[in-house]
Amino acid sequence: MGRLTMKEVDDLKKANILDDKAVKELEKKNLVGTRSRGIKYYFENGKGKVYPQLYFKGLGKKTKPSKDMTVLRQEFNKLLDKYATKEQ
Amino acid sequence: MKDFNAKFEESSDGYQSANPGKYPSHVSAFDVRTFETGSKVFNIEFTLAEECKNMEVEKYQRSGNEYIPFAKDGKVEIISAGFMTGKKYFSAGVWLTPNLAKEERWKNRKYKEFFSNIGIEFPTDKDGIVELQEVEEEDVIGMPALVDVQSYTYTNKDGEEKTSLRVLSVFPWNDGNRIEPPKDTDVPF
Repeated sequence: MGRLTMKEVDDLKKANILDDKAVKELEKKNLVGTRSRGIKYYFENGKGKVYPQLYFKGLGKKTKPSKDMTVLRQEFNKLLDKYATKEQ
Repeated sequence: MKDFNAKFEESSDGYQSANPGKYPSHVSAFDVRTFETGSKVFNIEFTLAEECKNMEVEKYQRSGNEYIPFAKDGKVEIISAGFMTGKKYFSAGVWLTPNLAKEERWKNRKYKEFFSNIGIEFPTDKDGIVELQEVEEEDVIGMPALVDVQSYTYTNKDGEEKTSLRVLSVFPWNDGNRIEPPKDTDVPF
């Protein structure tokens, strides 16, 4: 059936279509992805583009990220937005 | 020609093709076909809700059978999704098959997920196994849901390949309210 991305959920919250309670319900039903996808950020280092990555070593397909890991990714994405350049 | 106080700019005022994406909606029509095998296919129509007016989305344009983001000066244009309000989209067919062997029950997974996400609660037996029942029009008309509208390619009766936008996934919209179906109006005589 597919899932909503974190960005889509954020956009729906900003548009007052979903509130925190509704988002929690979606998360509980495993209908929200835990990674932001689709947007690439980069830095220029003089020789070309450098793409920053956040990687959880040991997180396999059958394991779920903890709440703190999800928050860390959200904060990481905010930092990307602040410091890096969004690829169009 | 004479002067007239009106302007038109193609890039902003021209034709805007519908945008694929995830939108709030309500179930607005219901159709079910039954086959000789007893299988049923459900086609549900969704009407995109007023709340689309609060959303901003990437502008898309249709190029042949594809919908592609519309870029201006290298940047994807962001527009209000208000123009999507009121647009109607059918789901791709959702199948319900009876009498399946245990190892084939997965065939009804989409049916269970689709209608559960609209808000239908199926009963469970004493072992906690879901007992799927046949959803009827009055169960779903007016129910709120978030729908994923995407391009869908199919072959028509004449063997031609066609593409249109369809609802391919449905998600719960717990903040949405069920809207009352239009009441049958008496015909004056």
